[in-house]
Amino acid sequence: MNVRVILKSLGVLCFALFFSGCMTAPKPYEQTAFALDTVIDITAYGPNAEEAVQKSLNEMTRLESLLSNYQENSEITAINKQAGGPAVSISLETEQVLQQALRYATVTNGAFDPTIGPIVELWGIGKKDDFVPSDAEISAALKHVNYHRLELDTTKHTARLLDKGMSIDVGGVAKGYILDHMEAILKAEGIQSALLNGGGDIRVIGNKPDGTPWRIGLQNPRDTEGISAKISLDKWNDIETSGDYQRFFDRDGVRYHHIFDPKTGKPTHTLSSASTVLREGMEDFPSNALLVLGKEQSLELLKQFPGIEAIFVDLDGNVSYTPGLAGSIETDR
Amino acid sequence: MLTWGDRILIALLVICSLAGIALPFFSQSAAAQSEAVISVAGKVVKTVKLDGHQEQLTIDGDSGYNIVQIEGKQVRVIESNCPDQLCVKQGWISRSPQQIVCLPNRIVVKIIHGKSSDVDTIMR
Repeated sequence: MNVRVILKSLGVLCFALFFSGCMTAPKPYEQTAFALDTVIDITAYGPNAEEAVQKSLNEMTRLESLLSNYQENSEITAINKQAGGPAVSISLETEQVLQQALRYATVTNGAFDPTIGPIVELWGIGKKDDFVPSDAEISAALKHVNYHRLELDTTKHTARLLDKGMSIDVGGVAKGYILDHMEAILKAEGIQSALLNGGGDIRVIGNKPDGTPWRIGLQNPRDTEGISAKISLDKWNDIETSGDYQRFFDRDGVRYHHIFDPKTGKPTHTLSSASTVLREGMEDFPSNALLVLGKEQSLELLKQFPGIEAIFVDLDGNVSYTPGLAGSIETDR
Repeated sequence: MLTWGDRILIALLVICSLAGIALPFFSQSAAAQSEAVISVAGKVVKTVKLDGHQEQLTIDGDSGYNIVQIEGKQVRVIESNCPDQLCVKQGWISRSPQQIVCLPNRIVVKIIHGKSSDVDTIMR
């Protein structure tokens, strides 16, 4: 063979090798946003990732302005201000969130209650200085907690709280709804690989660019440096977690946190965290209701919802999970 | 027959191609130095190498301040004027992708690179 041909071939080979070395993993577009009193981290891959993420953030802002408990002009605030008065006209989005919240209340037999507002306000976890209300104050507030007295008219598109003193708190449901919409926008923009982390709520699109599934760490409720479980989202795309470590204070050896039992008006003391793990397209389920019900009752209830998996961390840090997660989860104990 | 010029050319091409493969590994190991990225309302305001030095930084957030302490390869918030004090209660973090969030002040301290937790994100 001609020496020049060998040299040319070698040159092409070396050129290809050089550039193969330059081809490193694709870079994600990352953005952090604040909404509904939580932080939302978005990681997205693709040539138009930045534009797609910005569009999803615009949708987040739009929906937050309807659904927030913290915004003076939101529709939820309007319903709360009119409690005991006339019905309030609401958008389709608010109607969908309230419908979902009432469905949660029904299926959990009140372990989730969207009218928990007066109890949330009374305790003011994270807003007041380590305040523990008296039993009398709790009883008085509990009189205004009853999801049967939230009237939703899907024909006239109105909502009404029947008693003055009632208020809606659907922060968790609204967060899930907003994340679902953000995910839908990213997909519509052609994004095939993304991760949204809204505190205790995770949504993923596809796998990572290298083809491996997204891997999610579940924070150890009692050790901020520790991880209780690592879950590979090889079959699922949605995890929601509620825990007694997210907003809390400790007083005289008792943990007071932000998830309340609607029957007692006090923070739950069953589990330190509970997560639901869902496949794409499945109806959401409120993870905070699992904290109210405790592990045994939750497992019993979840039998009615085949396909929903769950992870429980008890008050001593022991981790357990439903059988469907076997092979996709590693736990610290 | 290969001349000396041909041999030098071949050697140069082989060295260049190997450098092309090796370069990203070297640049990755250089970037693997653990860092704390501090952002306010989503905008990065400070990136600090966790190289063993000690430092205290006062970060002005949306509605108040956080004092961030760096010691060795770990970082924590030691003071904040926020009402819930969750950022202070969280304590030290040292592994990627852990982060401390002060919601009222919209300050986030995040560890990148360095010792990894072997997960893409942590559910808080």
